[in-house]
Amino acid sequence: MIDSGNIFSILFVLILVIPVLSIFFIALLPEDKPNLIWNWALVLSSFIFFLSSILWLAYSYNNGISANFLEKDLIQGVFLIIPLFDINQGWDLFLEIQPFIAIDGVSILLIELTTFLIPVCFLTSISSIKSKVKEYIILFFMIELLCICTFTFLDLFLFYIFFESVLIPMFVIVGIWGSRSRKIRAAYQFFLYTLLGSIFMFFALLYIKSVLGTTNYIVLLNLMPLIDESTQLLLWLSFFCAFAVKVPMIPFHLWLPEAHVEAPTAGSVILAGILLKLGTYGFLRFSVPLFPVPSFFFMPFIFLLCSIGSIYASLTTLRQVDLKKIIAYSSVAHMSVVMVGLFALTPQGLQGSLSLMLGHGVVSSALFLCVGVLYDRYHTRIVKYYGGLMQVMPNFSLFFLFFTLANIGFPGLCNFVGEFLCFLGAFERNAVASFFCLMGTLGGVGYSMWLANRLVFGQLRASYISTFTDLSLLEYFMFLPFIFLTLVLGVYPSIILDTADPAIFDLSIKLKVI
Amino acid sequence: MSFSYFSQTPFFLVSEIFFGLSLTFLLCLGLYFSVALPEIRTHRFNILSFSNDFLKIGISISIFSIVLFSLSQVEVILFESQFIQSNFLLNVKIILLFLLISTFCLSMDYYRNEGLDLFEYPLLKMLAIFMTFFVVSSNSFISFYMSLEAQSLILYILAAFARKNELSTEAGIKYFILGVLASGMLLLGIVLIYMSYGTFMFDDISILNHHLAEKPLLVELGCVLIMISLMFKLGAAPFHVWLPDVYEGSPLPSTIFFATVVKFTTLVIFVRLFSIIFAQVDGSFYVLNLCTFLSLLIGSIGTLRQTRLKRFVAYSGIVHVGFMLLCLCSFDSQDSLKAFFTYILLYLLTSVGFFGIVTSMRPLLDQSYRSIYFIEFSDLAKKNVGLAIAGMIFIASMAGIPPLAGFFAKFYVLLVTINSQNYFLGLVALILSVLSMFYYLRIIRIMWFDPTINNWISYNPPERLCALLISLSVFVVLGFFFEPAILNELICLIL
Repeated sequence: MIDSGNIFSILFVLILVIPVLSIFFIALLPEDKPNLIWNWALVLSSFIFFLSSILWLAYSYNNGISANFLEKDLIQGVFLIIPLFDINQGWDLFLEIQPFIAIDGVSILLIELTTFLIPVCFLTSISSIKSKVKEYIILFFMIELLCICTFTFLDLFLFYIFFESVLIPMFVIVGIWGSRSRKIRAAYQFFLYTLLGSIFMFFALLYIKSVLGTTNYIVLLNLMPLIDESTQLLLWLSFFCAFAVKVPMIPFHLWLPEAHVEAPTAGSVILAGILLKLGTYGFLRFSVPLFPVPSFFFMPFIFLLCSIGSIYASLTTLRQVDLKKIIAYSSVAHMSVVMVGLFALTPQGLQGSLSLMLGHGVVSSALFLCVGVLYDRYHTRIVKYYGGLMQVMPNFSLFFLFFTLANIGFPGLCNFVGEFLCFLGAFERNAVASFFCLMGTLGGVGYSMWLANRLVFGQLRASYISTFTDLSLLEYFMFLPFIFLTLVLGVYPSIILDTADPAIFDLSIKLKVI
Repeated sequence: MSFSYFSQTPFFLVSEIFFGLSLTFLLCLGLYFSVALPEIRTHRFNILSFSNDFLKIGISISIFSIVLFSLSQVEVILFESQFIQSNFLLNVKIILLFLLISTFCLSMDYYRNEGLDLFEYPLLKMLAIFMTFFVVSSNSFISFYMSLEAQSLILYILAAFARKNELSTEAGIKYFILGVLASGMLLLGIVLIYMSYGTFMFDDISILNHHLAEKPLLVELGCVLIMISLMFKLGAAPFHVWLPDVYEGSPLPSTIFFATVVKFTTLVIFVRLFSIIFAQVDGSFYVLNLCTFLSLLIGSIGTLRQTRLKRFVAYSGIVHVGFMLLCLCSFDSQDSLKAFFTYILLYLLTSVGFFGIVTSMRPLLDQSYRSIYFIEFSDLAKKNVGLAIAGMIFIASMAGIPPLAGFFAKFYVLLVTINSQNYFLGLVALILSVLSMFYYLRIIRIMWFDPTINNWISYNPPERLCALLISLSVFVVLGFFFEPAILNELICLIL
């Protein structure tokens, strides 16, 4: 019988190594055969997706039967340690840090989302990216690798490294393949906002390392009470700066619409689908468990920001004319809801925030893909040039309407589960904040329906655009998995909730809310 | 007495003596070819590669000296304890020779293209290194001062070497006048210490300092003066004004020499003097803290508006010096020394790589042109992707963006700073590093995003040795993340 820990190690080595190998492999392919390059990129990224799915399956299978084998591999009942690195062997002798990989339900789901989105990014880029194809693909593989690392390395220092290094490939993607002349400004904003935020986290990291002498997450969980509470509040705030910029919470959100508007379609998909989740993942994994008392202390503060954010973002969305900006602001609104659920600090809220993270990753990525489809054809994203697309692009309109409905949290589709659970959790803590956030969501219905109405229904604006083509076969198949996921996660959310359940349960016990 | 050092010296200084003798031999050889037999030189030898031959001989001599150095690992005090040879100093000398080799590798093409094809030029650099050996080995102020002066004199010549170039002459004179001012201060400081203690020896001064709870005012003043003059040689901020001008005016190989070898030497001297003498004197900490703060601040702000390559390197060098001094501000343990040397080594490596890129920026049509402005990097990604990627990696590493080596170096420094509860300077360094991101990102932007503004269609591919150096530094900067332990252990070996 094969040791299950071994299976995980092998799978994980493959998941970490194949992106690296793909980078080298793609770099060696001949420049003048773009088709070959695209095909290989698709094959390799799909294979990584396949592997991560197997990881998920293996994990949930073991979850069910757990008991005997997991005893020795689990720490505190949740984290499955992947023995890739010898713990006793030093990695950085100066800092005395050993790399430490452990996964739980949360990280597996986010890895799954990452690996799912990368092939889609390649699919949507085939028609639009014509220059520097190899570099483009290499950068996406880099993002994939770094995100997977971010979600799995349970060491504060290494987490910080990966969390930050995602910036470089994204900066280059926005800067080179961006669509307009403002792209450089957008790339700068993206980079500097995030960096300025995480500098504070860096300082907190230095402080923790210097006072407690370790950055290992599992050890820190037990050691953190040694720091007195007023200092913990400051540390929480510094972590908050880093993560809130990434989420983005409302006063720090200015970089997001810019970056979205200027990035190529695939860049937007990655940005909305994965990079925003790095922030919420940071809150869920580090801020809340490491600093439980400050988390409760700052709960009203977060609720306030989120209530303002939800309503403000919805109202701002109403007056946008750029399709991508509309979806970007709706992302801001949704992330506010995620944060409300997360900082309700109840099991329902935590579960809800996780499933809304995933749901938002699927739905808003799909919406960005829809915008990308339109932009590839007509090279404009201004709403007023479009109208009555139902008559000429029925397939596209159907998909767009479907994802818009999913975006407003229509029951039976995936966002509904997350939003419902988030509000359920938040209502327990603070009914008023929950009410205001719900109002924001109501605004979300307003702008989404308004957008769908302008775009899909009404009169055909033939005066601006004269030739119309519906979805190509490739685009059609690009959307199918999104439809599938949206439906499945909406109808049968247990596949997410069950995977994440042990982790959330454990967190709730640590927070003493169960 | 005389008996002892005649019996010992040849054995212990064998590598230095070898280096010095081969230097003399090369000098004779060069004179012979250039003066005694000019017609042979023009006919039999290819005139264009005259100094290239000397470069290659110089490289082989340096490699041989490195081997000798690594064989003779002996700790000894020589010449009536005027000089000292220790494990650490031997390693420093080996690093110096490596830097010399990389300077030579980077300037392979240069002399020919610039019309500076004189054999003295590489020899002068070797002579400067030779003097540097004595500077770092010196164990008393008198030998220290004399060898430092000899070294500085060569540096002034190196700065002014492009005689026909106005800027170079100006740089040489500026460097000379201000350098003399600094050594005047150094001498005054030494004299003040001598007045109250009556000795030049480092060890004696250290013992006296150790036993006197209340230091004489003259000693405090003398230490401050010596520190100021060293800060001047280092180019730390408020004494940095000469640095950008000298860097900009001097020919590129000299600039590389100043930015790597001279900086390294001065830092090593500084850390030696600091650990022996200054660390016990309160006054020196004021100077150190002030210089660190100002270097970080003025360097970061000064770099913001630079459009010229060398000025940029000079100002960002000031910031890096600030970071290195930051380690010494919290000078309490072996850790800060480790952080200090990690930072120096990675900084040297990155700057060698970056200079490699700068030297290989030659348009195909006009060989004699050398790049002065950043804008000439524009759209490098289209012209030479390899160089552009390497450039991006170096810049990102200098800026301290995570997975690269520069980030680790900064992290070590800041950790040491925070460990000694120096929160203010740590926070200043962190916030200024965000500011510095602006200008580092600007270079990446110019390389990758900006449309081309000049009509250079393509570049010469980099010289082979130069390309080797660039790829070596890229390898270390990228690979550092995967196994930092290697460099950690190396640093422990050096110290």
